[in-house]
Amino acid sequence: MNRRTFAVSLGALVGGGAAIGTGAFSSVTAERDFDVVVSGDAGAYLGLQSHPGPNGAYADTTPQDTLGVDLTDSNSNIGTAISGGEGVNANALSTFLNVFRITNQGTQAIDVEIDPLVFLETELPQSLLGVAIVPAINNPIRLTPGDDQDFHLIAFSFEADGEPDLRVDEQIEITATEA
Amino acid sequence: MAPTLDDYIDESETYDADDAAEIPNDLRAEIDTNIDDAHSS
Repeated sequence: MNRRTFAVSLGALVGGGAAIGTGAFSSVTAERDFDVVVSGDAGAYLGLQSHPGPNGAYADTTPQDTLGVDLTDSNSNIGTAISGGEGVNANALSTFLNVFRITNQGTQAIDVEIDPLVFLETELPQSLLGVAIVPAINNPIRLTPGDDQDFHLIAFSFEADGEPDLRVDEQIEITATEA
Repeated sequence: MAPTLDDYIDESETYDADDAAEIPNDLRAEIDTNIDDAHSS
């Protein structure tokens, strides 16, 4: 693949089914493709949404109606909100502020954790592609009902021969537990 | 103290130290600056 791409999807597993049935959840574990992706997530108790700002276009909805981060040519916002870009720049450090948002749409405080916080692909000394999810350090992040947290991406690449060929096609796991 | 790329990697157990050690120091410093800026935004 003669380009540098970064794709992450975010998928959802739900724990504590009995609690969810009551509308009060005790834990949610969500795994999302990190083609840089999360569920018909916007209305769930654990709200996983693209950010309403312009960089929210880098978080795309999968065919399964889940949210995923997609910094690749498969992002469906290309040609509309994204003016043709299909990947991060080679030999560059890119910051994407306000890409996706996690909201506590339940009834009690939760602690949200994300793992991993960094994706790293290396074929050094020739190639390096990495992406960090900020701010998720010092996990977990506590959210009371109605609270939300915005997340940013830091992407960095190094390509000695100028021929981008690395790709991150992984998943991140988002876990929310009763605080 | 602002978090660094190493802090992120330390909390992401899927990556071993050998991969992280290959990141050139000058690039690492720039990444740390951008992470710090994003934390402050």
